[in-house]
Amino acid sequence: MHKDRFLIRNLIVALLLSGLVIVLYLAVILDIVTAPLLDLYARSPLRYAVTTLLVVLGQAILLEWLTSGLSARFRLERFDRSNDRPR
Amino acid sequence: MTFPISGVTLDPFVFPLIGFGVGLLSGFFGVGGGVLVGPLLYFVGLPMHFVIGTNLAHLAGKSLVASRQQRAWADVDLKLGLLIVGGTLAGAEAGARLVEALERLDVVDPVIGIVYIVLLLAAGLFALWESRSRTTSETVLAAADALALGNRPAGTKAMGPAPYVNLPISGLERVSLPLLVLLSLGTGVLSGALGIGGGLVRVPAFIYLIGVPVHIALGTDLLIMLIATSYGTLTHAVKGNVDVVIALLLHAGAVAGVHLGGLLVHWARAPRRASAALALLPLLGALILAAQLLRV
Repeated sequence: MHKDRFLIRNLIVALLLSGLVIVLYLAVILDIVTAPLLDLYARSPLRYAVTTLLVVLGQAILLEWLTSGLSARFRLERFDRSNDRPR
Repeated sequence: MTFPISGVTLDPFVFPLIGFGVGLLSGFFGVGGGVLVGPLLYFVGLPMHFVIGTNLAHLAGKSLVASRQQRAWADVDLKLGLLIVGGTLAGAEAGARLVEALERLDVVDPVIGIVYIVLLLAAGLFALWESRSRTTSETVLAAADALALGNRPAGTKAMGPAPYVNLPISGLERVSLPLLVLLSLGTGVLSGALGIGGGLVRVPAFIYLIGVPVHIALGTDLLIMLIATSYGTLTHAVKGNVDVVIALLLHAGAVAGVHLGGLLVHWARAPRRASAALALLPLLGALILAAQLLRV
């Protein structure tokens, strides 16, 4: 019962954090990044391609670092670890 | 709003939602969600050539994170990876050029769509067969098992013509080089032409055709997938097939979904059903793609 309550709390916190991250990302990407990327797309395909790859891999590292940090900050992984028993 | 690179007009929340939904399935079942991204992007109206390039870009980010999370580098057979990666990149380039040619002929949607459906059906049926044969002997699967397609079949021997190479890390003494080249080229073409990582075909082939142990097959495949999707992103972006803004939105949603799906696993003990999901997700992808192809 205690674990269930802990899980529900974790899910709610994770949902709120995820929603916040996505909304912030929408704002940042759509407002700041779109115009310069479109300019690159139109003018220099090679530079656009390299930038695309760097931006995608960079975002992957950044978001992974961010979600791991937030999970640790809000202790979202504590429940997972307590349940990890060898089978 | 209009996404200026691909020219599609859609609610900007659609792409993070697709990424989130697919990420949730990936996190919940351990595998499989990626096969739905391409069909869903096509379903919401993204042109097929953008579906291919944009999905590859999103997969490049995902495979980088996946390889870090699963500590995949510890399970890599570097020799096997190097033998496969050259052919995979050549195949990916050929696949990307094939898409360009089909686009010029204005037949990219039906041709790629049908090949995609056939591949998803084959993958779904294979996973169904594999899960049925496994559940007869096991009732509860560990999470690590759910990530794998099966154990190395007993009595697997070297197949294919000479010359042979040995793969000591995988514990294999005679592996046909032409078979490896054929596998690498084939999965490369599929990756470049369909915008997938290629693991759908490569991992079962590693395990069942070559006899690579499951954990090494998965680790090596992640390394190859990261290189192949990165190259695929580059070549498709040069050809104008990648909408990087959509790829970033997809990936942002996917990160959140994978994380939440991972939390839900502990509540629902989902790995028990992972084998069935492995079969159902590609079949669902094929259905979505077929519905959209018939609608167009």
